[in-house]
Amino acid sequence: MEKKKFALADVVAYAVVILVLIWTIFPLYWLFITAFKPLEEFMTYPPTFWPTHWTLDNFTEALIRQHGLPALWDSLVISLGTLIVALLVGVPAAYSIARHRTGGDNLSFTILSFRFMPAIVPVVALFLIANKLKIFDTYFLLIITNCMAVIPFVVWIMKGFFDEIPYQIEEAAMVDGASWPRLFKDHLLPLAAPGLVAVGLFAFIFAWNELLFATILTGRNLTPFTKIVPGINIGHVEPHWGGIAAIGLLVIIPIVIGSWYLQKYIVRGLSYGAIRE
Amino acid sequence: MASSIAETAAPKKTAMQSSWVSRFQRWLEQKGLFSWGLVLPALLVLVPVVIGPTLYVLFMSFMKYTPGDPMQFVGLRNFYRAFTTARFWHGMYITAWFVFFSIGVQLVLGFITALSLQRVDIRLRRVATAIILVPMMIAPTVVGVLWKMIFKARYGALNYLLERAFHIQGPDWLANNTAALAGLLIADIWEWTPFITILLLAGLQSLPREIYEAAYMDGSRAWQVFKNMTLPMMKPFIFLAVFLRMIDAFKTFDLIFGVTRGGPGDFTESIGWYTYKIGFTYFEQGYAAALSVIQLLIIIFIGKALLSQLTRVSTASQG
Repeated sequence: MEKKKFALADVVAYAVVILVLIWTIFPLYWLFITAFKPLEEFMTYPPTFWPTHWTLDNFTEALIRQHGLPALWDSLVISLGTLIVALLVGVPAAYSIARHRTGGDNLSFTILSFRFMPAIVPVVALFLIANKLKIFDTYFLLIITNCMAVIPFVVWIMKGFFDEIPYQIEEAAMVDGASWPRLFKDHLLPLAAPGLVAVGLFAFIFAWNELLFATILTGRNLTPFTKIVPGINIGHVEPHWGGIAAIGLLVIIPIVIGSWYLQKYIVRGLSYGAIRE
Repeated sequence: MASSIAETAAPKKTAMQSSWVSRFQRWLEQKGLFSWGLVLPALLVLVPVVIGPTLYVLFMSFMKYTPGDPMQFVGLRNFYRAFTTARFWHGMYITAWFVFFSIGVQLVLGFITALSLQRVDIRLRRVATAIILVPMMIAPTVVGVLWKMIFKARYGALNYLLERAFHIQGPDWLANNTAALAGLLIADIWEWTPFITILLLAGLQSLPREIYEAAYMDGSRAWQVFKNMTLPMMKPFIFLAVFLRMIDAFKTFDLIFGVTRGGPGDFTESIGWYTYKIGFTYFEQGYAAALSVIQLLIIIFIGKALLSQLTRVSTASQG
């Protein structure tokens, strides 16, 4: 009697998981086949669930004719720039807060609260200030504005990683008279490396996916892909769905691969270090 | 403390360590500046991009300003205008509706998924978790256009499947007010339910197993175990998930940008989207600044309220 009931719960659990997987995968599958369908086939009824003719036209349309390639390049530069700046300034801060309790709880919570600031709040002022300083529509501007959300993230997550590295190792090295760069390179970096890679990947993904700054703080010069994807059109109004799907597919592939690596750290990342597995 | 370490280390100096780097470090440590020196670069980036512009937005919210024209002080008139504009209240209403329903639905679905994932074979759980991560990791703009594609009235997959499976004539999703809002909700559920699932799954796995076994030995029914044990123990995780989702849902912009662009008409316009239109389509940037200030106050209020709840719940469950 008891056993049978448990078996039923298991059946329900498997059914739910399979349904959730279908629900999750179907839209991605749709994106995938749309990217390889000729445009006419997208417009047929009933819709085809497997392309009758495979084509790469959508990719040339999006990347070449609609300037997808420069857009991808811009996004790449901005994301890598954000990753580098955020790690360079965020990691030392995290170390200092973890080891020396610099600024107490006030400083660390203030930094975290910046992450929760809606980007729409400072953007009007950033738009004006950037125009005055003549840095509007530059990589520099987008990199530092992306840092608004990414640095707090880096500081919080790295602080958690440093908290887990025993202090004795550093103390011993310091007694031996190691300078800070030596200490960092020989004793800290090897232990913190997995955390650094995870945090760096998260930082890259944030910047890669960012839309609001990418739309408002750019003009003719820069076109991150997030800004142009919905605007890939035939003529002026009708979206070129194949082209949109093609570039959409290209930009999510690296992220899917990256998040495969991030699985181990995902809970910690999503909860700002509040939950550690 | 730091200086005493430096003194004991001094006699052991080697050629490498007497470089300017270590001398500079020692000087900083003696002045007690080393730890602040490490934080300083982060603050040098954050203060100009966060605090500076926020103060400037506060200043601008009292001004009438359109690029090209001089700024003009108008006192509280921008705020008065917001509170007397129907479109502002509609934006607030849509935002509140969206936050409430998206999180409500996601919490229920996410909990069911997490409970199910915990029950299935560990290999399936690993693969499934890796797959359900994808929607929330990819660019929200792509999520938006992806769903727009599926919602297409004539050629879209959704209406075709509705027709084939249930013989339901699907609506023209993006041309109808209610359907467009439902569409946004569906896309948001697809994108963000995994977030709640993953946090709750981590919570479920951290619960002590022995208590469960003891409860089942007592002959408690599954539902009772869930209600009297799982749910109370999961409270901190539920609160954390809701807290983080609420703040993000309040800011929803990307999805609207991809799916409805505020349409049809202005029906699916959130407060964030309204601010964007005012600031960067109509270029009434003084008024947009006032709208930003209102949102900032709301987010601070929500954040403070939820955070105090969160700390209360987590300390209660630990004690």
